[in-house]
Amino acid sequence: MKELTRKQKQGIIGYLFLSPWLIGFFALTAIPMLASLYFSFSRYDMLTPPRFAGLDNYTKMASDPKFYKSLQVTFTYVGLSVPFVLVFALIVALILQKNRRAVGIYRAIYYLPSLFGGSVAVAILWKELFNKEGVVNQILGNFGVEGISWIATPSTAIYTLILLGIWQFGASMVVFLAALKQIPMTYYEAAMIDGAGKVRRLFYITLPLLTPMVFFNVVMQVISAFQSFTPAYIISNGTGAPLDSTLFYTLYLYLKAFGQFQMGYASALAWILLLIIGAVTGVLFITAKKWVFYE
Amino acid sequence: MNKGVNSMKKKRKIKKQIRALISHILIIGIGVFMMYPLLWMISSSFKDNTEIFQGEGFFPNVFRFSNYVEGWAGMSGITFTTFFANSFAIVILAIIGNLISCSLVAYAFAKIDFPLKKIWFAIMLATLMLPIHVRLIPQYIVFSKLNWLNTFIPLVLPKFFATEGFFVFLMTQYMRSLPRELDDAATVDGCGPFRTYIEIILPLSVPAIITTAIFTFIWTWNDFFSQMIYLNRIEKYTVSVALRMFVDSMGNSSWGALFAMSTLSLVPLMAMFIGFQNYLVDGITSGSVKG
Amino acid sequence: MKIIKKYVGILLAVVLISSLFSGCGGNSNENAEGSQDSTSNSDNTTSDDSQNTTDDSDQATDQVEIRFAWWGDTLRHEVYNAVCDEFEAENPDVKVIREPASWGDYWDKLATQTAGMSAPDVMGMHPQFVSDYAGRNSLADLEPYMDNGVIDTSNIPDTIVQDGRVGGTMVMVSQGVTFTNMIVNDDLMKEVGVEYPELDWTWSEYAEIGKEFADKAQEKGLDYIFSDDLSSYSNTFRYMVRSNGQDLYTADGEIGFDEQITTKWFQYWKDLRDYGGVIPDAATVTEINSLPLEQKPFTLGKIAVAIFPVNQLHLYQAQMGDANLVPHRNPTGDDGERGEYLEGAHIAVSAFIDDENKDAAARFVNFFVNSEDSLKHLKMEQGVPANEVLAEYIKPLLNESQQKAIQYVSETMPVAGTGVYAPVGASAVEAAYKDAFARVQFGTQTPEESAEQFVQEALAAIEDAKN
Repeated sequence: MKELTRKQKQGIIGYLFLSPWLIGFFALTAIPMLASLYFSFSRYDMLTPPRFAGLDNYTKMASDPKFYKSLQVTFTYVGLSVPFVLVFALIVALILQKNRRAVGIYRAIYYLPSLFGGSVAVAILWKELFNKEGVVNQILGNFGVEGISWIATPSTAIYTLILLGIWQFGASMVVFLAALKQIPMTYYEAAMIDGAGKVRRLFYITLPLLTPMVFFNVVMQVISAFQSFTPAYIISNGTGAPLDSTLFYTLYLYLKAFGQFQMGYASALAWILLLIIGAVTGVLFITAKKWVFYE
Repeated sequence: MNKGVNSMKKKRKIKKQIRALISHILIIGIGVFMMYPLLWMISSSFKDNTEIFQGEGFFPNVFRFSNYVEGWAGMSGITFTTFFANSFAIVILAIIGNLISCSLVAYAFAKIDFPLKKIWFAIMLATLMLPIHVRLIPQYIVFSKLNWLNTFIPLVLPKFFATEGFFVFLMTQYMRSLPRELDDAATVDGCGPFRTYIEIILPLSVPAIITTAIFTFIWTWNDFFSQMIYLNRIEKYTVSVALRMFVDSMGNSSWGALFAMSTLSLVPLMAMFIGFQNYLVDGITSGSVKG
Repeated sequence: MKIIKKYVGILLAVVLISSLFSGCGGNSNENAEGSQDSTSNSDNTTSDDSQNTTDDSDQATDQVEIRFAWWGDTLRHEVYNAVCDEFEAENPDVKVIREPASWGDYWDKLATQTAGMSAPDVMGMHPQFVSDYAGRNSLADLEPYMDNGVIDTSNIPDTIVQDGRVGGTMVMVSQGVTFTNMIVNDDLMKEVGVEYPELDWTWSEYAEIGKEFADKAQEKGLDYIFSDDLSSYSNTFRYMVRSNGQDLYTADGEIGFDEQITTKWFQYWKDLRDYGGVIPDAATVTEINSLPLEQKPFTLGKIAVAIFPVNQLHLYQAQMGDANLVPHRNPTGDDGERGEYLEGAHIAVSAFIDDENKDAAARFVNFFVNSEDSLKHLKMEQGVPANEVLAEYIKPLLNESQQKAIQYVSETMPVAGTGVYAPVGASAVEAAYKDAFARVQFGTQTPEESAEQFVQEALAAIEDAKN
């Protein structure tokens, strides 16, 4: 029997390791994805079988003002929350990484907000903070500033949500902490012997070695920010109020699907979102070659 | 001359102390900001329903545990004991599933070359980008046909098949950052890929593994939408589903009970995080690469 | 270390494989209360298998399992559970599986389940959504059961019975009659010193009284507002439209109101908004709409008139101590024409279940609506019981505010008409309305512009849904 080439062997082994995902993908993911693609080309109200409708949903989308509004809201959210979250996460991770007393407690405290996830309690709390009689306004009142209802004014509502996203930077922070831990001390020791100061060590060792995880965090944060749903849903009571200023794309999708029984249109929305995220991620991957450093 | 040097040293010391002080204040300040909502919720859990919203102070007038008792009793005769048990069961299975499947798959993407690798990787990432509400209905129909509704299966089985691209991606990135020389060394030593995976890469990827475990725990614990859709009977409800039952926009809401039970549901999450966090802190530097 | 890792790996693999197998039937072990089979064979999809599926579970004889889903808060869950228990006690051949949820989750779940052909046998149903479900044939026709007496309608007024008829088919039975009307905080009115007519007023009177309230409150330095901004509620819009001879929808499923009346409506509220002190400003209104009951300004004694289903009166009263809350009719047209229509939650049966389950479900519905053992728990939960005899029966069981509510409903029922049910596509019209009033509230459009856009969108939605 002819010996398999090394490459062929590698290929087989690769697929063996990949098999759980392949099976799962075809059985559990591909089917729903294809189904939803089909739905996007049909009228489907969930209570009766779908009926083919060609490009109807997509043409409707092109002239739907709410579609554009939700895109604008979502891009604003992504564009503002992701950079802030990552910067906070990185800075705090760097600070906490040095061995200090009680650093474990601080880590836990900073991570705490992320644990709330999409709980109802968070939404109530956030409303308590930012509504007209809320805590923020009370504090502002002490400085003689009269606050408005941050959460119910169209121009400011989205910022309360961005703030909520930033408040939950703990998840990214944990990822950075894990990566920081893995950087061997020997690198730092060598650098210190060479006379490199703190700042140089940061920029020439820590950051470059962190870039794979930074990249990971950027991609994940972007994807998840585009899909952010629960905060907007709970805080606006499922409506995107006021005046659609918190109408996240996924919230609009959800309303169309479950609120108005237009699952076909919602599926079309979903696929457009996928294309958008795909495009953005693609750009990220391409630019990654410039700055991500693998050993 | 000495005096000059001493005073310079002193200045630097004072500067250092000031900086330490400032960063301490900053950290504590941000910490308070982080904690405030949680503290509000905990303190509310000890208040009477009316006092929560109409009361003036941060601290309850009277500390009452009734919210906890009432809340734990749950509803329709099913207590939170059941709900917690269900949540734990699902979470533990999910963690096991994710750890095994995601690390296997990540190893393939990170360390092995095989045809169409890039395409599969792209597809895997793409699965992350499709909003859940749309996948939900077809998946639901599939599980319905298989008669697996009202069981834990739809919630747990996918985890054993690396369906959570996030963790595959995380581990892939992590494994990629481990130097190639390791693999080569292992091969030279006569290790096949599986042994390399088990004995070398996995141990070194412990931070990523721990991170995966923590996040799986938290996300699965908090995931209410899938749990709500797939679990029909109240005996199967999990904590996150049960919590939502406390708030009804058409009627009365049991705020005190909600906050009490929400506080309790945070306990395992915090415990998990703090417990494993120490592991992270101690680090694997002892068994690491250059050692 | 390496050896340990190896064994851990093997152990994990073993656990993995065994849990895969146990997953196919043993997951019920995880439950503390596990008495149910985990493979949910009780879901009634096609018509054949409900007989043999009960073998492996705990029931002895031919017990039928029906699933009952409802929405509510924790108190209601207790009440409904008690009703289910009573039913099971009297009907040992039927087991009722309880599936409670909160209002928002309930409808998501129901839509998903219906899509997956696994809707519950018996479900709470509401006029707001019934068109979507009935119009797509998801609800069983109950008329045969009414004809043969399984569902006894002899004590239910015919208007209420017919209220369950949607698109010609009898699909649901009333759980209780209620109205969404105004409640006046009499103490506040007295404090400000404004008189108001008992029980009835016209829209013009309402505005006058509102302005008087605002003026007097300001004079006295009281920080009160007269009323909620009712343009936020589409069912108040409906009241107004009905009190002017129109309705939201016509009998053949078209839009029943015109641009002119919509403009009048938005203008009315704009005037009150601009006057100041009569209704809250736009941002406050948005906040109020998402506040829970306990936090609403009305509950906190800051607003004198609010609007909500009158069967919730006792909930508000519980929060407001001994404030004197008076149910009041919604304003009538200037010529006295009324807009009231019967409201309230209903109960329906799934169309996808087999006959055996349908029979059991019908019996349950009958029990729910017609028996003392049920009503002694239900009381006024969803409004005045449809069954007149039982409405009398519960009176002594009620507290004071519930009695007020029941009296109000009894007085108003004779003058109420039946609302025309919304055609398919109504949910899109609702959404368009929400946008429309918000635009006027925040001043991004004039009442005319907003009304025009709303009517256009409403017409488009109905057209679209016809396909």
